[in-house]
Order: sequence, then structure tokens, then C-alpha cells
Amino acid sequence: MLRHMNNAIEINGLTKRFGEVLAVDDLSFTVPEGTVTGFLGPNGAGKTTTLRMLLGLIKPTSGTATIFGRPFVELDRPFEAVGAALEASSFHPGRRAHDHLRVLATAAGIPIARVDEVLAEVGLSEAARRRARGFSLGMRQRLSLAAALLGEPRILILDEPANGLDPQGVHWLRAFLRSFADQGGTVLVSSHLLTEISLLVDEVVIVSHGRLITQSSLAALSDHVTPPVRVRTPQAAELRTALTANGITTEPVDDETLHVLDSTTESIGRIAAGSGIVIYEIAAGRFDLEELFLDLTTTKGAVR
Amino acid sequence: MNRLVKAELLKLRTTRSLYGTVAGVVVLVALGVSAAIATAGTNGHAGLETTEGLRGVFGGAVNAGFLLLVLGIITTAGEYRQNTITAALLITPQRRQLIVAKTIAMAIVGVSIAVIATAVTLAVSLPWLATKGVHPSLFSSDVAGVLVGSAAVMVLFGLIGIGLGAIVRNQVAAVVGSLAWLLVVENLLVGLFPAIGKWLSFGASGSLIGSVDAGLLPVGAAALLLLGYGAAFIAAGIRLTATRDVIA
Repeated sequence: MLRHMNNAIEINGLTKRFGEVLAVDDLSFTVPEGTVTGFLGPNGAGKTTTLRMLLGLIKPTSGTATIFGRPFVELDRPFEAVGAALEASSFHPGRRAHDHLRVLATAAGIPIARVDEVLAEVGLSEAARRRARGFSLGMRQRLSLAAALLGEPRILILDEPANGLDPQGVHWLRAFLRSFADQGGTVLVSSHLLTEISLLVDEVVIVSHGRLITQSSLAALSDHVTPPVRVRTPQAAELRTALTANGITTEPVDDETLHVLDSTTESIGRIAAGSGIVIYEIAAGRFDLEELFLDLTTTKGAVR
Repeated sequence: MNRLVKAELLKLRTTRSLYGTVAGVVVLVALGVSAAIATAGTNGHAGLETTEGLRGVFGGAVNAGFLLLVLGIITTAGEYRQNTITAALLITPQRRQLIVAKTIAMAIVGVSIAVIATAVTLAVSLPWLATKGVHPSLFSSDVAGVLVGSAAVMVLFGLIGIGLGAIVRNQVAAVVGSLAWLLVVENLLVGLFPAIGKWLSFGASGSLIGSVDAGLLPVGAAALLLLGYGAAFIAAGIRLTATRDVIA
């Protein structure tokens, strides 16, 4: 992480206990200003609870969460610091989209003209006079985002914003957030799918069971693992013995296929040739973000 | 605070609950006043020439008070039902201010609806009474006093609703529970312990519309009692709203 950067968001030792359930457990991470940070974890990992604590909606059992050094509830005009879209259904079904935003703008003292601007920004101008009841999930996501943008905030916090979006919608969201970040904005975006946001984020914060698994750049994350090499041979047993003799771990897939861990096609080829083993097929595994993510969030803390 | 009150009024104006409430009040008041006039002097009902008979006519609007109670509940509990509370708190993290703004907005709406109810009462009753040769003096306590008392009941019920909704948060439970209280529980309690009747909502409302019943509190005390209920519920609502977690 670059040291000269200021942190837009700092989470420090954040813990939340709901009765018996420890939803968030001593979680600490930072979101540097001007970055797009992915907040990742399986469903139930404590992402939403963390975001709600950050936004003053849930009181932490212990620990702190600050925005530009202050708790959210102590910010003057908090909507100018942070715009948040936490869920796609926080509208009165009988209220028109334009009215929903007009209510929020009125409470914030934001000129009503801004309502039309944000509706245009998220591509909802056509639906402005419709009641939210008839909105698709994708339209709701866009309306949530429009509400978040009202105060022209420096930080956007989005909880699972891609849920319910069609591929064009995801593409649009990605471009939108990229341009927000390019203009100096900071984004914290949660998701349970790493691939969904891997094209978008600079940094990832991965949580599981309420605990931090890792915070790193996306690039550094992929350096942690070497994908397995897949080998097909009629002499699988012999090849295993030869590789094991060289200190290389293998996993049988079927009678004639092996996965070779932490090795390269070159060294496997050489060992096979040395032992006179016939190889039908050998292929370097591809780096699979989703598999890595699953691996990290299920084995808990393999990487640091 | 001014902005927040405006926003709350805008919330009320941009959904159908407010218009439904107004329509309900107009219909109930018109029916109540009509029934009072039509049945006066029959089956043991006091005649229109009596004080009691006239009070029955001009106090007819009081029965629409429960609609304001429901509107008050929707104003606070509805935010949780529709999950608009999250959006509201992201703009105004100071939760106490949010409930205070709702209280002020509800008072404004309550007074407006009470004015409409009063107009309906007069529009239905005066011409009808005139055909029966009854010409009540509008500024007497039997008319003006009862109209004001009945308007006060409506406004105060709205404020009680704000407090109840903030405390209970579950809109359906709050509406069903408070209607059950008004229609069933309070009657049972008064049946069992007649002496406590004057301290409950029907007793207090009755006093405000000049019901002829020696067991009731004086008008001023009854008004203070209802105001006290409203203030207590709102204070509890503010306190709970400030401390409870807002989970999706």
C-alpha cells in the first residue's frame, strides 16, 4: 500500500455480537482514498453488519469505524462525505422514484434540481415518475445508487450492487464506478463473488466468519497461489512415485489423470522423461480467482 | 430541523396513506354526524333541543381519531416496514431529530385534518339542523367547545401514533395492537374497574367532547392526560430509536 495515501475509511478492532452470534470479530482494515476496494466474503461473513456499523446504523460491541477520521454520525453533512447504497429495496413501493429522491434531497438541503441529475446519471430518467413498486431489481439498484450520489459524496459504499443486474447492467456499473474512482472518488464495494468485481477493484479485503482473512492488492493475491498442473498418463502410479521422490505433491483425479501441486510443466516433463514415463497430455492450470476465493474463505487464513 | 419537517411532510404527501386517511376521516365524520342527527330523540337518544343531543352531533368527528392514530403509526413504523429508515438515517444520522421532525410534521397534518373534519361536521350538520328548526349558537361551549375538543383528540391521537410506531417498529403489530386496545381491551378494563375509565383514552376523549358523565376528568385535565400519553410514548420512542440497531 502506498504510504502517502490518506485513508478514507479506517476500521479498527470492530466487533459485533448479536446475542450468541459473533457477527464481526475484531475486524481491522483500511480503504485508502482514491482506490476501489472490494469487500469480499461469502454470504453471512459479516459484510453488511460491518458496513452498517461504519454508517452508524448498528452500534459496535467494541472497536471503531471512521470516515476521514471521524465516526459517520459525527460528520456534518455526512451525505457529502459518503453516499451509500445498502440494499435494493429501501423504497416505499407507492412512492415515485423522483419523489423518493426529492424527500432525501429536502432533508439534506440539496437543491431539487440535483434529483434529475442523479436520475440521469444512473439512467433512470424515463422511470422517474413511476412508483417504485413496479421496478425491477436492476432498477432498484440504480435508484439506490442515485440516492447515494445526491450529495456528490467523496466515498461510495455499495453493498452487493451487482445483485440483480443483467450483464449490461454489471458492465455499466463497472464503468460507472471506474469513472467515479478516476475522478478521485473512493469506493468500497461488497460482493460474495470475487469474479464479479475482480475487473473493477484495486484492493481486496476478504472476510469470512466475521474475521479478516486478508487485505491486499488483487495482483498480490494471485501471487499467493500456483495453480495445479494437470497431467494425463497411462502410468499414473509410476509418475506419482517419481514426483513424490522429488518432493512434489500430487492428487489423483482419475485412473490416468493427476493434479500436480506447486510445480511447473517443465519440471514434471523432465522427471517423467527421466523415469521413462509416457505422457499423453500436460497442461498448466489456469489461475482461478473464484477457486482461490473459495479456498481462502473456507480454509480461513491460509494467506496473510 | 425545518428541512427535516419539510421532508417529513413531503413523505406524507407522496404516498397514498395520507389521502386515504383524509378520505376515511371525511366519510367517517359525515356518517357519524348524520347518524347522530338521524337518531336524535329516538330510542332513548337525547333530542336535538338538549345540550347532550347537540354535543353528540358536533362531537361526531372524534370517532375518526383512530385513523390519525394509524397515520401516526405509519409515519414512524412505516419507515421500518418499507426499510426507508436506512435512507433517512444516512441523510440524518441524528435519530432524535428525525423523530422530533416526524412529531412536528404529524402535528401539522393532524391540525389540517382536524380542520377538514370540523368543516365536514359543520357542512353536514348546520343545513340539516336548520331544516329541523334547530339553530345552535356556534360560539357556545356546546358547539365551538366540542368542535375544538374533538379536533384536539384527533391531533393528540396522531402524536400518540408517532410514539407507538417508534416504540413497536412493526407497523402491522402496532396498528392491530392499538385497535385491539381501543375496541376490546379498554372496554374490558372499564367494565372490570369502572374507576379507571376516566384515565383511559375513551374517558379522556369523552371529556374533551363534553360527554355528560360525572365520572370524567375536567376538560383541561383530560387534554393534559392525552398530551401526557403522547409525550410519554414519543419520549420512549426517541429513546429506543436512538439506541436500537437498524438492521436491514
